[in-house]
Amino acid sequence: MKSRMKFLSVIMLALVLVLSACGNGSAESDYPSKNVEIVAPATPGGGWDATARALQNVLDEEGLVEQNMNVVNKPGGGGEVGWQYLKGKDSHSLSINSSLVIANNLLGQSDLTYEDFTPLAVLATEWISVAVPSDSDIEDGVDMLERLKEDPKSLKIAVGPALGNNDHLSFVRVADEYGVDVSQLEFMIYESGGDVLTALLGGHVDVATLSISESLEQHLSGNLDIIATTADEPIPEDESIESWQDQGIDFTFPHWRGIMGPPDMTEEEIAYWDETFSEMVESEEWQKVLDNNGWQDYYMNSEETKAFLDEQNEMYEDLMKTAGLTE
Amino acid sequence: MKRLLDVSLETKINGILIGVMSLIIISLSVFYLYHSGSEYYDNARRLTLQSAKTISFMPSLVDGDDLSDNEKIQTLTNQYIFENDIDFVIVKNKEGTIMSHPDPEMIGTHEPFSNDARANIFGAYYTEETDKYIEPAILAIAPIYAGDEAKQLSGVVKVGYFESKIIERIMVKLSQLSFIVVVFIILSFFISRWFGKYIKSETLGYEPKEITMILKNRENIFSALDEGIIGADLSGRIIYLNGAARKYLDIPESADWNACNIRNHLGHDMDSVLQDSAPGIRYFETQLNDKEIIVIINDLYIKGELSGHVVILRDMTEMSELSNKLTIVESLFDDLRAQSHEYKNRLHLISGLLEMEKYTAIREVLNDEIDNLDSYQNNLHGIREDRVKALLIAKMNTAQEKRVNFRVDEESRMEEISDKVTINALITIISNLIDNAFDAVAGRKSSEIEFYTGWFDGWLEIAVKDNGSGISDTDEVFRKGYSTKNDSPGRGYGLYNVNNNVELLGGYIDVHSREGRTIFTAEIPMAQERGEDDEDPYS
Repeated sequence: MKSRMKFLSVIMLALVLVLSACGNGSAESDYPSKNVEIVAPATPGGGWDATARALQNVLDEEGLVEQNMNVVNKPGGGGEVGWQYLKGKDSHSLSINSSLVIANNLLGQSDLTYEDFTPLAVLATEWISVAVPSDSDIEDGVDMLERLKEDPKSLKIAVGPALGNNDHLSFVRVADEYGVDVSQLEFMIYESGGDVLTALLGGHVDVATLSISESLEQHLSGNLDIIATTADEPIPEDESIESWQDQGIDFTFPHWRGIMGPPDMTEEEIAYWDETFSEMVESEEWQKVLDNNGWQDYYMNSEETKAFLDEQNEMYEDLMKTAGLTE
Repeated sequence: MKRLLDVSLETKINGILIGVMSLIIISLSVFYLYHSGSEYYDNARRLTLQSAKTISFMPSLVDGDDLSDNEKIQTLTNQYIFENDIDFVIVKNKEGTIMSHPDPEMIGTHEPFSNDARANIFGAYYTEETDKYIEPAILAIAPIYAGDEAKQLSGVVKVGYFESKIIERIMVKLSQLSFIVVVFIILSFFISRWFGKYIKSETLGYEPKEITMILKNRENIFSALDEGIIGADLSGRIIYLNGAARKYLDIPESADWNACNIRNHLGHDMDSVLQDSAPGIRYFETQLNDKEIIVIINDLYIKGELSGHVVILRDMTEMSELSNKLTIVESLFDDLRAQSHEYKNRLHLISGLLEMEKYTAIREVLNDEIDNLDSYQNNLHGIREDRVKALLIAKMNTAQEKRVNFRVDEESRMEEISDKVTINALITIISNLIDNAFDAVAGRKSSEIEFYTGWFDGWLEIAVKDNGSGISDTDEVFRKGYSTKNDSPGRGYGLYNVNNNVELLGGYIDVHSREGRTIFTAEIPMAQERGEDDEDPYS
């Protein structure tokens, strides 16, 4: 009996050694060993889809990934469908993500949390703007907040496509911090960013919160005024646009996009992507992509991303639990 | 702890069995209860959240861009409560005015947003536990949207499910479970009682401590015995062995007796004894390590079936030595008695002659007596071994009493013998041979016995010659129980003993019977003495 146990343990040990040796070897030299799949959890044409395809192009053209890469669209549930799909895949599938991976769970839209995945990188961000029609008598951001503080129902605010997205959250947050009774704010919810713009230009609403990439063109052509942004730097196209910081409110809010992998990726696989993405964000091709989409470089490697997500999660949780309860 | 363990075996078994069984049953129940409890909570959460969503999406809940009027909402919610397993529904508009409430008085009052703000501001769907309404309940909160083209948050709906209902269901489960638990514990009680009794019956009612004590005592008693005791199974494998047996069989302390087979030590004799004789107590004599051992074999029965043998080894060496000494002392005593009788006769004779004043005759008698004494001395001159000498003198006296002419050959030689075993054996041989000769010549006229002992080249020769009745069957004489006089039991051991002792010393014995003369001749090697003599033949 005793000798049998000894024998077994020797076999086990040998097995472990062989297996671990195999694991090391394959991860270092072979990964990725087959086609890489990039999941865009949205329909073709949206922001996530654009990010995924830009990523595919740059990595391919720069020759950073030797294996073929495919973009797979899995629309639905504000990312939920794509991310559920990713959860069951191996480390050759990656997915584009954004703050929704945190917010969906807090809003009761999803059982998934960001901790169910392996964060790989934050790639880019865009900033969020608050815009008013050009003929509006609202002078700037602070003026708007003052009015809302006096009467939260005095202004109709357009947002899309759903409450709880970054456009909405950033507005609530800044208003909440300024002392506005955010529970009484009149948000009009439109199907898409385009509809928000139309409603603003058509005078159906007084204020709209939307990303700069969506509002900048109309701002430059003079159809509307951007009265505040969540940026921490000047907007290159029009440096006169004031951020909340410029108006004396210490508030920034990135609308970031990143990329993550399925749960339980090995350290070697994570290191591979760290190297790949850090090279990619240095490339000129990627700069062009950023410029074309009005995105800012916001690169963080896997470790920084993990910390960033923890921090964001705390912020969202804090925001949703305390907003409207300050009085 | 030690005092706790110091209870009877039955109590211990009962305690352990009941304890373990109860522990398993109770922990399983607790686990099951906890599991179903959290399942009830999960179900309640799912149910309330689903209900809240369903209600919030009801088209008739909203009227254009705003909520419908109170009455309509109340009808709607009451119907929903009726149709579903939920306890209450609260509808609040965006301002915080209650549109529908289980307590009609609350309708129309204002309730500031607190925990429900997350739904009201961010459009979140979630559940929480609260005791804000009526009694502790699970509360699901969902936002209500109004408007077609541009949707607008216009209120929240809250659906409650009383925790007391969950607790009630858990309680029902608990009572079912406790019934089962009690039944099983009672069952385990009986099982452990039965088991305890069973164990106790297996140990014949002894506590383990007592059994240990008995075993220890048995071991001590057995090891204190001089007799060897061996337990063996039918194949001869030794299952028990005491210290004395170990010594007799020459099995070292370190050896594992289970590997020993008794047949290796007592082989043939034992087999033949076992085959030949009827079951019961059997015995035979053998020699182990130069010792004369009587082996007694008892059958060992377990549940009426023969399962082995108990072998007792009894060392007869000392006993036979003792009996030899006793024989010599006895015969000396007899001889003394004979001598004193003889002297008394002589004294009577002298006294008679004195009476008749025949002094010359007296002198003749005395001279005769003195000659007699001298002849003893002369004939025994060559015998240096005092004990043999004493024996011979005693036998001479007996012979005189029995009117037998007993003569010791003048050429007789015997050196001193230091070895006890040898001398005892020799005395047995000589004494028995002479006694045998006395028996043979008994009742004859002019009976003669001649004794001779010689010492040649390391061999001791003993010869006893008589003119007695003779022996017809020279092979049979040494058999145990053989006797020419079959009239009394307990006879016939003399020559058998002689033969045994001769074999013990490694010699042999011969008997010739011809023309009324019988000679017993024993040849015995005197290894020790020869060794000393021949140690250095050239010196």
